[in-house]
Amino acid sequence: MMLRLDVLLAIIGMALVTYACRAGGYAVLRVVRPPPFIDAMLRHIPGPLFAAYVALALSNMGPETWLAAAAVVLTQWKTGNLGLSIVVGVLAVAGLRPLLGG
Amino acid sequence: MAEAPPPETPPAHSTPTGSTAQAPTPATPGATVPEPAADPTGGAPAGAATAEAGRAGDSRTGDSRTGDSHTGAPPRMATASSVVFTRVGLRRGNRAAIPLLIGLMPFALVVGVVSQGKGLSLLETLLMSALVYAGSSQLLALELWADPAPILAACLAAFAVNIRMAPMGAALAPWMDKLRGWRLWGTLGTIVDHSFALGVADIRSGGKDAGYLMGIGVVLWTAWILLVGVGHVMGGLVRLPPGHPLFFAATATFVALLVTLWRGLARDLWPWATAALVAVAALRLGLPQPVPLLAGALSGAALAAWRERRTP
Repeated sequence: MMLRLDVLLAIIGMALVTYACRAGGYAVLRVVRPPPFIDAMLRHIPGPLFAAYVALALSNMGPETWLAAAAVVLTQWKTGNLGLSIVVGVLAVAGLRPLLGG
Repeated sequence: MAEAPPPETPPAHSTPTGSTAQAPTPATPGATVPEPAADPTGGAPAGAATAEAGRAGDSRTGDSRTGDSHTGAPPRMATASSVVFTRVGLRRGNRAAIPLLIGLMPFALVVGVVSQGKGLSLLETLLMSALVYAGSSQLLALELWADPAPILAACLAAFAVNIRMAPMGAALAPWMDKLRGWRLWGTLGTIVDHSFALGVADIRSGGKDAGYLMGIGVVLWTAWILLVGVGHVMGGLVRLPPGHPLFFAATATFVALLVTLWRGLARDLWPWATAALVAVAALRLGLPQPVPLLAGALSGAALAAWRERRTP
């Protein structure tokens, strides 16, 4: 169980930066009232953020993952069961990859 | 800003009280928001409209009509002031986080394995996971790892990957504005992509219990530390090949979370499509992360904001 000073400093540095990222956006907003357009943007960030996230991930993977993503959407939409949707997605990739040569 | 460490407060210590609302909201003193938050569809569920009004609502009720609203107790929207932080909410968050663990597990194991491969001790690995608690940035920093530890590079990696979370806390303002002390700064410290998505979905469907967010955060944080530790201990044993189907669990999680955020074609199709296209285009142009992600998210959100404000 060793703990080296340089590693500890790197970890603390990362932790401070990350906490500042997590809390900073809100902390700034408490002090500075954003203009209405920015305010509206902030309210609309969640969907586009995750859409960009997923698009980037899928663009780096094969067509079997695109079909699997569709299966996840269908499962989540029909059942509302997050765990089941994730399992369906993994199984779909495992099942489709041999067929699509991914 | 960094006075609060990542929260270690178990749900049992929270008091089931609804008295966290504070008067008047410090985020919006003297602000003028002339127009109410428009509801472009006109037919959205009541919960969505309520949450939409959350941010603008505080100032709207107090400022736009009467100039003397700060002299007395300003009128407050019932929906905004009834936000609470209860043990029930924490428990509900705990339960909501369980399915997320399926998606978290492969990622955490990989971080643990890589950490071991880069020569970090188990203690150092656990400490990093507990204090940083952000998988992508940990992975990126570990890619750059050297001996002695690259302190500046690690901090830059953390900033580049985690700056995406800055707008998240801001977007959660309808709840955060009603919290104080460790509940506020602790909840902000547990924000990750998953809890953010679930929290926003809950706000939009009329959720009032901000304990939900920290309930999710505590489970994910604990599981993250444990699973990264397991990955470190197992070392080379769980070396899954890079394209193993199990890794799709992480992407599948976000795909499923998108479904929970969907509010209908009229509102979301174009902003989401724009976000996806801009992000992929920026990646294809060779721009480094997090530029593609932020460019996509911000362009999509800008389009959504523009459409909302254009609609009377």
